[in-house]
Amino acid sequence: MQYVGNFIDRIPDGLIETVLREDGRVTPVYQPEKWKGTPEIEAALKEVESAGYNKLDYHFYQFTNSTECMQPYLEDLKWLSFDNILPKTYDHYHWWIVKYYPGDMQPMHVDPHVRGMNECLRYTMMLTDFQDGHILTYGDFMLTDYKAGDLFLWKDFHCLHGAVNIGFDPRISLQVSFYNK
Amino acid sequence: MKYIGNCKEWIQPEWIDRILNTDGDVSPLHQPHNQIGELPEQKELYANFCRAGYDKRNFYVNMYSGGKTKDVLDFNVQPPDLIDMTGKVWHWWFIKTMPGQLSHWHFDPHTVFCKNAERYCIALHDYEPGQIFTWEGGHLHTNFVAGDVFKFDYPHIMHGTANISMSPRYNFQCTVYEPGTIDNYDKKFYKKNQE
Repeated sequence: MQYVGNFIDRIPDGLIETVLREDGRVTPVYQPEKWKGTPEIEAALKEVESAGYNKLDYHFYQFTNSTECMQPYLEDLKWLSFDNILPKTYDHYHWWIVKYYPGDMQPMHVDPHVRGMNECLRYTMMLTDFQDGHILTYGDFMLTDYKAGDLFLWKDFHCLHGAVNIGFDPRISLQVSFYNK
Repeated sequence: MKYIGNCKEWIQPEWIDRILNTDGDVSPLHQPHNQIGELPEQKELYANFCRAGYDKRNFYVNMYSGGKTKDVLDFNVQPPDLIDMTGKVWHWWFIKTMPGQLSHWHFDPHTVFCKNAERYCIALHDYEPGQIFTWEGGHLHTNFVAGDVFKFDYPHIMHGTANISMSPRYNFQCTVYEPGTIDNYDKKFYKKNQE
């Protein structure tokens, strides 16, 4: 991942506290209804199933533009416009915030929404400081030593990645993808 | 983690087969008796663990301890030549972490009680992304192959593991120490269990 800079000043007041306090949408790791449509995605689901992730209640938490506690932050979307960051304009973007409590995880995967895309700018902004046990791994690497507000551009938006929290405090981050349909 | 060398020929195929096909001692993440102990650092870690809210029912790892776990009682495991045992004794265990399982951030308290302890880890399979071993300083253990021997930077280093891959993660662990100190370890570390 390529470090872009620190943009904590763009995050609206109260957003981080809201995400830490609320639970948003509980998102199960095993989602047979969602992970379908292409042979690649269905093969990924089968892998998750055969590895045993369907047997327990693995889940994490997501916050999107349809999450109730996010509504106050949607009146002014400047914080998501990435002004002076994007190298060009894109027709579409979508964003989501993820929260992992200690013990929460997402197994290694390729994001289903970017499969089949040739061009996409995928960003991650950390919303909490790095803590030992806060794992975001991609390929053979792990993101470390970051501060809240640090923004990273994914060099390969198709890369295999996963997350798990084996620390003692929640970890939250903002994900944004820009693309042309 | 310091790379010591590779001892692939030391690994016995029957060890792998047994570990993959048995459960050993199912070792829950939440072990108040073992986690509290006598060390102030243990008490602090246990308080953090409780505060963090880990699910106390679903997380466990599979342990196979030499001389203790039924599934491996017939194993005659000798130290590989790469580990210097001069004037020392050891205890060893295999550990299996299935997909979805983890060990939270911790240190191994027994290494504090064993005199001049050295901690080693031997990979039993090649590295696969998502099989997490992380330690102090934001390090992630990657790109090892079966038989690689690693020595911990110091025996009670903080570390944690998780498996978010699609395959079991398993390896061999041992602590090498000067003889006569395990009694002290038993007395202190298992005090709560003996009560």
